[in-house]
Amino acid sequence: MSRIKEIVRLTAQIKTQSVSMQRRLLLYWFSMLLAIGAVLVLILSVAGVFSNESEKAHDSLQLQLNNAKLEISQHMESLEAYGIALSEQISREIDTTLTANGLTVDDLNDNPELLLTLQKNLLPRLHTALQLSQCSGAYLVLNATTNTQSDKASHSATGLYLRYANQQTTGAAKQDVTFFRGIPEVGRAERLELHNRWNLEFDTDLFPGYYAWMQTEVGRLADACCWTERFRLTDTWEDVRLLCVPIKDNTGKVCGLCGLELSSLYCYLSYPEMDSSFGPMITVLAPLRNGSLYLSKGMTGSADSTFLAEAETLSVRQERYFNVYSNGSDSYIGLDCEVGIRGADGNDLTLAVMIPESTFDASRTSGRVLLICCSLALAALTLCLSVFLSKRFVQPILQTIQAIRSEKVSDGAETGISELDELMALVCSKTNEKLLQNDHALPPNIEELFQTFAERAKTLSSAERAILQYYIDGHEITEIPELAFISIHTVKKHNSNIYQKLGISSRDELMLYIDIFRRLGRLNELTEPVRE
Amino acid sequence: MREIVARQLKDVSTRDAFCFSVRCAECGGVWMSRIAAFSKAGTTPASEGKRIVFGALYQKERERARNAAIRQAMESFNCCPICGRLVCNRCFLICEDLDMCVRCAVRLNEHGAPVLPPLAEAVK
Repeated sequence: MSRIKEIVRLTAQIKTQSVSMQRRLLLYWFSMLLAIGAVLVLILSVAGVFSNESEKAHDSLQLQLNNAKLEISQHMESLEAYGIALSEQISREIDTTLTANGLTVDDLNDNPELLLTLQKNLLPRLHTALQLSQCSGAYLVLNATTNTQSDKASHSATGLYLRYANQQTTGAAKQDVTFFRGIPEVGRAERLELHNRWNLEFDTDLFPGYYAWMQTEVGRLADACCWTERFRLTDTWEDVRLLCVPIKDNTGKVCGLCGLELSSLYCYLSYPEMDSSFGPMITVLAPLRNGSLYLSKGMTGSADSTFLAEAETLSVRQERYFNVYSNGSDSYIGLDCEVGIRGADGNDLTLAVMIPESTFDASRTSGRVLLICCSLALAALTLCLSVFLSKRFVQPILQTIQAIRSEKVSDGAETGISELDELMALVCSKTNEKLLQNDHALPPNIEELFQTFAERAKTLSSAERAILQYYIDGHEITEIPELAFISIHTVKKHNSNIYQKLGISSRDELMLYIDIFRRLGRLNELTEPVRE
Repeated sequence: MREIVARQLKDVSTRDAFCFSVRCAECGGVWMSRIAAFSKAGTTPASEGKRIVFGALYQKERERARNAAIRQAMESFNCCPICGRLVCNRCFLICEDLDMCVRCAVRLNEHGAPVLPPLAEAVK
């Protein structure tokens, strides 16, 4: 308690201490500079100079793009590897089966028994490939048909197509597999459920360049494999992209295609949108041609928080920090890059990471509003401080002027400003002097006494007045001979004359008169020479 | 004043006593300081060393006596502000405007009373 009392006492003492005007002025100007700085910050904030949201958004997008590129590249590379491995296995199986029967690939046409045998042998390999790879389906097509006499024989081919019934991105081993294309006995033998849109054979028109492919020889399978554009799977509601890997016969000619399927739903589940401080980030894998991103021919990750439609075509406009993708009504900001996945047309696919521009703008606006509010508060605070300090600075001056005007200047008055205190003290002393001069209303008899003394002083000779001046100046009698180059006797002689003329009897009496005349400010009456 | 008097001071000391004189520039009267005896007056130094000691002592006491003589002379002499001469109190007049020596007072036709009356009047 005693310490608190001590602190309170010290605080009160500090408050009563005088501070120089210069220091107060410095403080005031410092606060003014702060206020100017705050207003400047406010203006610049409104102008958006301090906003680096675009740069931050670019960094976020770039990071997500790098991650997505790595993930997708790995995914696609693994699918292509499984596809090539599948193709090689199928080639060996076909070769083994046909060689055992002394047949060629062309002999598969119109040979249901052989096709049945071949599909029974190939199904386990296809099933294994489906289960091992991260995809939604696996297929193989052989350039042969069960019935060449059929109307659709020209664009119909035998093959197997297995698909997952329920799409999941994890736990593929436990997923149900449906038999989408192939001879039904093969599916039944493996206890696979027929797809509700099952068909015996493939429509080869779905595969781009299928017929050209069947007439050519391919070298390395890795160079030949490619992805189809997105297309609607016949009789279903699903869009897919298919990895196409040629199947070579024992002569090296292409006798069919095999590969893996990526459905739009699988991509949707595999690449969920990522939350960021600027809004949801969407991953898109689509061809980019002539400044347009064709979503209808690519795959899109989940985009639940946006209005992005999978069938859209987005025009791309490059800006300083990112690209703007627009479909006319909605815009997205984002970055893109090529991921080295070859499409059927020979062009690489483009990976893009996008954020809705509306959420980005909202984020940017909220950041700027926060900055503006902060700088506004700072400006208001510093301006208030400036006003307060200016008032504190001016108030004592006004009070002093008022006090001087009203002549209520007291000796002990303290304004808190040292210069003003000095001014007050000066005015006070001057006022007192003035009062003393004005109010030197000595009693009449005393005044008469001093008047007589002053009159008598006028009778002093110049030499005597010179000696008197030494006394007035405060010199002792013993000092005067040294100062005036005369003997002490001469001084004493003058003294006796001075005493006689002034009507006094001692030096003490003389010094008393001198003191009183000094206090009254009338010393000049004693020292002024007589004007004749 | 002290320097003025010191310059005019004449040493008239003997081996046994110290005395200094100042001559009035106006009347020619000689003022003599009070005689101060040497503390070793009449004592013959027993050795050469003592003689040196006595010699140093003599100089020291002489300086002390000289200072005392200056103080005494300052009580009896005035410096005339007109001619600058050092004159005695009897030759220095207290005038109306400026004190001065008798000769200057006559020359400037000033009147005044001497600090001390002439010696003849004083005797009367």
